[in-house]
Amino acid sequence: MTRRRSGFQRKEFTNSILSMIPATILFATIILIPLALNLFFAFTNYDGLDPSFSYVGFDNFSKLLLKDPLFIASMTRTIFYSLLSMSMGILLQFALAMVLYKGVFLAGFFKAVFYIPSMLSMVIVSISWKGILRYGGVLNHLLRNAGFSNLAFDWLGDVNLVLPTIVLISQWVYMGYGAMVLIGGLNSIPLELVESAQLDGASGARMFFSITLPLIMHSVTVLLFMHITGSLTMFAIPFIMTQGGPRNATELISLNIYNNAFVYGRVGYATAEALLFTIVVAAVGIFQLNATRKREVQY
Amino acid sequence: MKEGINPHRPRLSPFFRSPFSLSTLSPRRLFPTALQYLALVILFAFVAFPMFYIASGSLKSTADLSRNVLFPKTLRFDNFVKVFAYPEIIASFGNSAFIAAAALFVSVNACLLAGYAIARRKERLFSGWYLFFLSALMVPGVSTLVMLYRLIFALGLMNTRTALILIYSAGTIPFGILILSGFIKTIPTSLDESAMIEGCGYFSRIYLIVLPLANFAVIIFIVLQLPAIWNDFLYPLLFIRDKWKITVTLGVYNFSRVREADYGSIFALLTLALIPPVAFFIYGQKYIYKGIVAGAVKE
Repeated sequence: MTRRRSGFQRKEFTNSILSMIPATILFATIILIPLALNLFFAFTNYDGLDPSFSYVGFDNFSKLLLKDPLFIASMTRTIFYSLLSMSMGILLQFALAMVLYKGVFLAGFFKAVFYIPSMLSMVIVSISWKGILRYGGVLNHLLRNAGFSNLAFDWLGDVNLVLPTIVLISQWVYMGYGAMVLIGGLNSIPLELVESAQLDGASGARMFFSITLPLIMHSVTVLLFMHITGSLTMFAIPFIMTQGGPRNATELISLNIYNNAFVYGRVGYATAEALLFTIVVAAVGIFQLNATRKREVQY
Repeated sequence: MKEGINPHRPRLSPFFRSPFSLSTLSPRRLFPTALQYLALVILFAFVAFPMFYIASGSLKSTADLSRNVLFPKTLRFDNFVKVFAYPEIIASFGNSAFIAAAALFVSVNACLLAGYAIARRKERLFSGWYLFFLSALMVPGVSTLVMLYRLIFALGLMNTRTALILIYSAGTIPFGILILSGFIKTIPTSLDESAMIEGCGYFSRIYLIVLPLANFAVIIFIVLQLPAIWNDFLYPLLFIRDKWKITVTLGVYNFSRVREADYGSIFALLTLALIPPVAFFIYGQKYIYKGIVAGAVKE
């Protein structure tokens, strides 16, 4: 009896291992092997074609950090883009969430319209906005007709305007999504807590910072994490709309890596850049998760 | 206002007051309500206008488009006729659907099998294995891109839909295991045990007992991952050359480059490309909102 039972358990164990195998093989082949290769090639001068590459130690990294103004510029640009798009995104999404949560006329319809852009491909988003923002396009036409002809800019051709324009487009994409995440948090606040806070005389800003915000902190954590990883790795909008131009003004770090690898054939160099970038994104993400999780409250 | 009659009656939070109930329309409260609707209208115009303009632009003549009128003078369908002159664009919708369906089929099965083992086995091995999968959630896609390209090339999968299916199924595995193993843990083990006593083997238990009970988690997983797969642009751009194998996103991108200044037909194709995500959203709305809440709200 005992022997049969342990035989059965052994069979269960073997089956459990077997059932891990499909996921593990797929995951290891497509994600881990490239990651490991990436780690290896980051220390070589491989150009993507010539098989006689050699080991160069930390040369790629020192070149990146000390002698590559394009890398430094795209890194600062990415940080600027991320900060701008995150702060604007959080503000707009909070505002929208509050408005929709308070209950408005046709709330379901508004939620749907605000949410739909986040269901669209960045290709559709970029090409649609390109059609609207071009110099002779409808936005400038409307601005001129409304008497603001001095506001009719070359939105995608002006070095100083193009990055903020892309920030606005990313707001267009994510506003409804972020608001829905926050509304999910707001809906989970227990009514008794709000009522007892009101009995104690809390209202307005005090109510928001002492009751609402701590209670939806988990949603804020999730949302911030998405903002950070999403904006740091932004690739498609600048790639499709401006190809990094004008004069590199929209060459964010992902695009810089892509160009180094697939346009200039500096594969070893690009993998070093990608490795550095992965470390930065992971570090910022983990730091943010730790920092905001501390502020989550239990109730 | 009847405040003050009963000092012990809790006043409702501003959150829980509908701005449309007449009792709240005191001047002190009308201002925030008006402000709220003003914000809503501005944000709505910002979000809805591009979609409206694309859809109406697809029905305009070239003259109407260059004059930037908002509504077409006469409805014209020749923009759509121009799009249908490229049969590979129509085929791209089929390719995208096939790739997304195949990738999700593979990844749901792989995640279900692995998720069951992780949820049911108490050994350290399986919790370590679980963390191993989850660690990939922090790795930005662009950092494995360069080496993934070499890998797909080495596997002889360049220019095949199989490459995309493999990449998408592997890419969705970490999230799938997270959501499925989490959900399976909430299914009582007594169900498995009674099936075991009836002589139900390991794998038939997964498919006959667990899958029907976990279908909510499977639906949430599909609803959240399908748009990500359908909308991806970077992998088709890198791996697909044959015009009959392109996805919708690559089709839109290529088309916009071939017919550069012909905004009428570009808008027509964009309108066509808007249909599947919007239809999917309307159909799966309930599950999409539930999925966001499941991800963002603490249980």
